[in-house]
Parts: sequence; structure tokens; C-alpha cells
Amino acid sequence: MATNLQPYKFYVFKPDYYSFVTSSGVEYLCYFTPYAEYFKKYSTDISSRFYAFNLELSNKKLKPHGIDRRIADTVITIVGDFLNAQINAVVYVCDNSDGREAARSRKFLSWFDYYEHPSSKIIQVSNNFDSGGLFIYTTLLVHKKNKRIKDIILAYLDLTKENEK
Amino acid sequence: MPSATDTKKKTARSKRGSRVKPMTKVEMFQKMLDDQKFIREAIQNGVSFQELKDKYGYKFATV
Repeated sequence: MATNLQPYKFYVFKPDYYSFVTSSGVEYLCYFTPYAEYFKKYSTDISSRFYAFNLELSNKKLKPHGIDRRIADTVITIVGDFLNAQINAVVYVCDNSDGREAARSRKFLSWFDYYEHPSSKIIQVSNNFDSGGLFIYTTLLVHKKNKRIKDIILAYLDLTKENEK
Repeated sequence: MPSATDTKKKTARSKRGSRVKPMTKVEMFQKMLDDQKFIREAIQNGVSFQELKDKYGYKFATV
């Protein structure tokens, strides 16, 4: 069986979201929401650079079956497109509403694992922690050439550190 | 041009006015997850991005 490892063709629905449809007919929407409100202790120059990454099925009744590597390739391409300006950073907080946040985190980390999907431009930093009895899985993605990369990583690690003052 | 007294008055008003208690870390992450869930369910129920912005006040990065 021939295997196509190319990303799916995606569409940009300006100004809000990306969309792609898999070979099994499942449509995904990908969008980014501002996270500046969670970085208020930093200057706007830093706080305004943070965005949440979201990937959703457009229709929850149509669920994917099996492993589809092309979804990972497509998401990497979309996030790469978003981070290409070398200004913003993306935070992924795993949905925990169905108790599958750990699996979700493992999958997301594998998508951006350098050895599985070599990326010359994106690095990921992952920090999981206990937040008042709620275990939170998070990942930061940032362009390697982002001029504020150090400040962005430090702010992310500060937000996701376990102990609260 | 505002006088120094005017500036101080404004500053004092701002301080009195800023009574919004900062979110704790637990509240922050709960809000992140709640917003994420709300938007996901809205999209899956046919709510448009425009409606999420206009009616519910959500913001999205320009892509």
C-alpha cells in the first residue's frame, strides 16, 4: 500500500483559523487564542507574544480511526506557518475533560519531536505540573530565531512552575 | 497639559479602581481549559468564529 507522508492541503480562513480534511473525511480546525492575560506580570512586549494552540474536530460525530501521520505533518506545517514571523510563541494546554490528557500530551510531544519530525525552526519546551490537585500538561513551541526566545521560555516556565507564592 | 496634581489624582483613581483580584494559577489554568472547552463545543455546534468574537467576546490570532 502506498503511503503518502505529505501534509494535507490546508486552507486559511482569514483572519481566524486554518482547516484541513483527512483522507477519511474528518475535518480539523486549527486556531490560536491570545494568552496575554496569563502573562500580565510581564511587559506587553512579552505577554502579547503568547497564544494558545487549539486543534478541534469540526464535527465530533466524525472521529478519526487509527494512526494518521499526515495529521502530525499538517499540524507541524500550520504551527510553523504561524510561528514563521519569529515574533509569537504557542502554548498547548492539554484538554483534560475526558481523562485522556496524558495520552494527548504524549501524542503532541511526538509530533514536535525532532527525531520523528525534524524541524529546523521550532523548538518545544514541555512542563507538566500539579495545579491545586489538577495535573496540567503543557508545551511551549517557539521559533528558534525568535529574538525574545529566552524571555519567552522563562515566562512560560514561570507560569507553569508548580509552587504558587 | 495636565498638572502634576491632575496626574496624581488620576493615579489615585486608577489604584482605587483596580480592584480586580489577580487570578491564582489554579484559576488561570481552569479558565484556559474552560475557554478551550467552550470554544470547541461552540464550533462543533455550528457557532461561527465571527459569532464567538461578537457575541462571546473571544479573540483569535490573525492568521
